[in-house]
Amino acid sequence: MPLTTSLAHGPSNRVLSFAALLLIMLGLGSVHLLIRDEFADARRLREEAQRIVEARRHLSELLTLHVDAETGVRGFVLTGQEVFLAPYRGASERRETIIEALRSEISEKSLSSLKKLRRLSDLKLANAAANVRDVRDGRLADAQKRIEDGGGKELMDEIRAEIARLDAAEVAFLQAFEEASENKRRNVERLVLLLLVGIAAILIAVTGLLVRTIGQRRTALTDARRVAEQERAMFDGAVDGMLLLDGSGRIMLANASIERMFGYSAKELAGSNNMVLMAEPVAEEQSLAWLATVGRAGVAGAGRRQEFIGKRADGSVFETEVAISQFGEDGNSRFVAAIRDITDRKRAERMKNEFVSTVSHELRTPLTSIGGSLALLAGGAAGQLDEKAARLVTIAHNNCERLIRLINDLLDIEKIESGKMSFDMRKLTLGPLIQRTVNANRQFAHDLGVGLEIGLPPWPQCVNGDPDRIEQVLTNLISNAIKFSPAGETVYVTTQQDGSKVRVEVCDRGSGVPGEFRDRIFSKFAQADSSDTRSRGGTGLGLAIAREIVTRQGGSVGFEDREGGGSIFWFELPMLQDKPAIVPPEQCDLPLLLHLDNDLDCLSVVASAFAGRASLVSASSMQEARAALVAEPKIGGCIVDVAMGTESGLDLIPELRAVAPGLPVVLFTALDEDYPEAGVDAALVKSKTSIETLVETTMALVTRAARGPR
Amino acid sequence: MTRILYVDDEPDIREIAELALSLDPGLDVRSAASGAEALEIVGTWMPDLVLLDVMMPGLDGPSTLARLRESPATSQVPVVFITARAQTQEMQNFATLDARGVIAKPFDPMTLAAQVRAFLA
Repeated sequence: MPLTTSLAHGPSNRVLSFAALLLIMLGLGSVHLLIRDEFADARRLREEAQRIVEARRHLSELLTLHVDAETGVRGFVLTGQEVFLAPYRGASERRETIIEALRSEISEKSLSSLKKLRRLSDLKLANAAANVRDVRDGRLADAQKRIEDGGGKELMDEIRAEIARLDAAEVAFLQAFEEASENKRRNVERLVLLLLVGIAAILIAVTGLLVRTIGQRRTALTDARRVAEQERAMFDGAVDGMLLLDGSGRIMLANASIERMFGYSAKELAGSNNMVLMAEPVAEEQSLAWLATVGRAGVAGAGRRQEFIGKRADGSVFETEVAISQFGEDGNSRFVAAIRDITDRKRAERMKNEFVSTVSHELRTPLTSIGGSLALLAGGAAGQLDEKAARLVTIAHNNCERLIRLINDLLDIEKIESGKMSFDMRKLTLGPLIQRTVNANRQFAHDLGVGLEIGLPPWPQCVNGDPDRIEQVLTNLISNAIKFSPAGETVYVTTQQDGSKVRVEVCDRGSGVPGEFRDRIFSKFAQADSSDTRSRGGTGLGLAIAREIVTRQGGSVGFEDREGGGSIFWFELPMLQDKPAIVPPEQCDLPLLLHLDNDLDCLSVVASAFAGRASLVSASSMQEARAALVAEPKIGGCIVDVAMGTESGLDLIPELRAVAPGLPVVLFTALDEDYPEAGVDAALVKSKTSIETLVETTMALVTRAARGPR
Repeated sequence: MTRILYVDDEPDIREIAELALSLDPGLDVRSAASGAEALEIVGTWMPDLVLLDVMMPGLDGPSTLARLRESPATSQVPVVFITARAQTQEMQNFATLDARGVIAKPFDPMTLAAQVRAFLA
């Protein structure tokens, strides 16, 4: 959906924009630094140039100074007029000023040249001074002779040459500096251009991103609008009454069905509490507390349903069902309530119930008469019937009973499916219940030539359940087992304990459950072979009813193949038991026995049966038994159960033998099997042995072992 | 002879019940077609046990029982309800109605007398 796509791009777009902004800032900063640097360079170049111009001006002035002084002195020599000496007179002073200025103006390399120039200048001025002196002292010829010798001219040429060198050096320096500056400027230009291009590229990318984001946002907005319109259309067009409630249960929106159903206009309802639609309004806090338990839309548990009596604008009432879902975040949550008028459904339910009840009564009444009459006839109440008549009456009677069973089962299924089957749960002892149920089925078993036996432990096994319903389940399993057992076989009813559960098993020697039927054996009208229904007289509902009854009481049902043929059908219920205190006994003079059994009731019954004869350390797990063997070195005998959940008590025996080879070990187990390999002193089966026998057997072995050598 | 009053609005079932109970030679059986008729009979013929159908037009089983308990003469007479199994579960409170027990309908006529005897014991 585009909406979610654009939302998913949101964060990455933000990061990208931020990075772009950062890059642009960096780029602009760099440009700024480069340009500032470039300006500083230009300023420096300008200053250098100015300095060099000044230096060149001073050099030129120095040359002029000397030339003028030379010319002046020559004029004086030729004419003897003092006026010619004017340029010469200021030259010495002026020369100092110019050389001082040049010292700071010329580049360092030229300082030696300046020194040389100064020396030449000194010589030149000294030469001029000698000429002036000679003229003044009347030695004109000496002065003329000095001029003619050309010494002054030579000096002058040297000065000119030196000045020209200095000038050339400054010009070269300026040129080199200009060149370096030019190179750098070109580099900076290139760099700035590059940066600007980069920034432009980033700007283009950012613009593109922006355009895309805006596009996506527009699409998302369009989608959201379409979804909103779609939902509004669903809301308005729903057959159910739809309400939108705010967090405090006030009506924000109501659809046309609500208007039709309750007779209010949506405008009238807007802003009022939803309670206005209820015949029996509850306190606002109560209503809010209930709303708070409503599940979120799109989450399991949403659409919570409740029935309530609605009240129309005209005050009339009707039955409704509401389903509520919550959405929005905490603090700003809202509710959508779908309200359905269930008047018709309720009426139909009542009619169906009445129909079922009536039909069952109306069917039962004639069946009672038919069945009763046939039973009396078959029983000889109307005189002895001849063989053929008796056979026909029996057939009619059996089928009449089957019809009655079918009606009863159908009524049970109807009750279970409509959730109307109630259970009278109480603490009950399984033994007497099993005994009673088995006794009730003895005649049936006898008629089919099948034996029926019970194997129960001698201590009570208590469960929490409805005795009538458990009896119904057990009757069903037992009668099935009898029906499917060949004549001459025996059906066993036993109990097994596994941790916190007790399992009632019904074992038959029938043909077993065929493979393709195993998955649906507990479904309604499931029978391995439809001809079975007729031959066995079942309704096909018994096991479905049994499963429902047991699971509704917190138990489970199942079946497994029986070794040697046949099946074991079982149901399990949670056991009620108090864990006996397993503490090391205090009476030290009595023999100490270890009793391992995972059935806590059995542990406590056995412990009390040994009272006064022996002290028992009771262990309900293999782990506890091993710990007890280590902790209690004086143990003089062991009573061991075989079925220890996933483990076998038999595994403990080699360990016992390793520690104490002569220790008497008695197996006391529900499993009626041979234990030739077990290496035990006695094996007693719980259902066949009284507790007294266990005590006597164990005590005899313990006494004998204590007397004999260990 | 132990007197048994069987109350049921269905004539066929009444007849079968009478026949079934009379299989026990120690029982003296009479029947009534309604709660009202039962109340009339107990005025002249005091039974040792009343078998009372639950669903009857007019006075139904529980109402008839209540009326029996109102009269000092019949306040102690043992009453056993006869009702369809589907209804026995809804009648868990039959003990609070002061009935001695419930026999499920359809009953087995061959063992009905024995069941009645068990309630009398």
